Amino acid sequence: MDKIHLIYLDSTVWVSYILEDRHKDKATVLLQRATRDGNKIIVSTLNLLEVVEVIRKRVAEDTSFVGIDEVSKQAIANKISDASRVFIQKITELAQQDRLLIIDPSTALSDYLSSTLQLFVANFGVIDKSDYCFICEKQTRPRYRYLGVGPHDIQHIMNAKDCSANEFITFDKGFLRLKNIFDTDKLTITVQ
Amino acid sequence: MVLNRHPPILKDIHNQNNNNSGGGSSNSPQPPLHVEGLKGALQRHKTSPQTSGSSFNNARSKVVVLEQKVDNLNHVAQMQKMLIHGLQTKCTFLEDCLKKDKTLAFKEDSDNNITLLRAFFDLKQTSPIPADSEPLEGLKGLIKDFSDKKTDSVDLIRQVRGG
Repeated sequence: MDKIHLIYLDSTVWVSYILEDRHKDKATVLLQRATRDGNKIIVSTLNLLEVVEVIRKRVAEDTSFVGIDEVSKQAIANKISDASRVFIQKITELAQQDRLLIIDPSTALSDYLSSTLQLFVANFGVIDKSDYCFICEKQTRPRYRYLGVGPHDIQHIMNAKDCSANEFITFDKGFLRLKNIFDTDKLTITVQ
Repeated sequence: MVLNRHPPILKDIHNQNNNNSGGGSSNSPQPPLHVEGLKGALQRHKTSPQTSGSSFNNARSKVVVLEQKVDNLNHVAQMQKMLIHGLQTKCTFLEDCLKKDKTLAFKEDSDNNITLLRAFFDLKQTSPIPADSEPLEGLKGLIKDFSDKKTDSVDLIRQVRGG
């Protein structure tokens, strides 16, 4: 069997691709590269859960408000269900074409959580100032904010390692904090 | 006489040479000095016990013993290097085998997960997938109509992860 290059794409890459946000061109290039020329994508259940959660939130929050009745709620639920099903359908088709693997770590749950805890406690982030709202696009009164790797960030890297991924790719610069710990000759962490 | 002007050591060597060559008049030209004769004369004229011939031989023996030890250790080191190289080659081979076996195991897990996901999301089994089908096209911009044009994927995932 030829050597296969396994690429674990962070959920940020998938969301960029389905949302077509400002990272969409990078996401397109990555997904095309990752599914050919001896490469294969690894998707974990954690990826799928996060993307479907984004679908739920985005569809609900972007629907124009017409009232909180059963009809409007059901309409939103149907839109969410349709989009989620298409997403999962296409992911399974990619897996059937052998361009993608849907796999999870084989580590015992207690060890998995224990490792997450250990790494989380050992990696405290930074305390920074926040005085601008990027959504409202206006200045706000200054306040403190904590910036650091979260337990799910750690779990994604652990998933990538456990599934023998060669590369972990993300758009989230927060992962740079984990690069020193996890970036090895066996797993390369790429922050784009 | 010429000889009287020579230091005792050279006189000694000269006498030795004359004895070896069958003697000769002290007035005849001096034969050339022999190196071995000089060594012997030097040894005889040494007065300190530490610089005696037996001490020199002991030091020489020690050097020979050490040289042998160094040679032996170098040989052992060379053998160890070959052994390590062999083990590394074997290790690489086993890692490749492991990766191949893991990939097969991954394929099995992935196929099981396909079945599970289709059951959870109530999707019909579609096999085989048409060769010209490109699932990525179906994913591209799937929810672009629900974008607020401000929040990007990093922000959205941070919200989901509680960051």
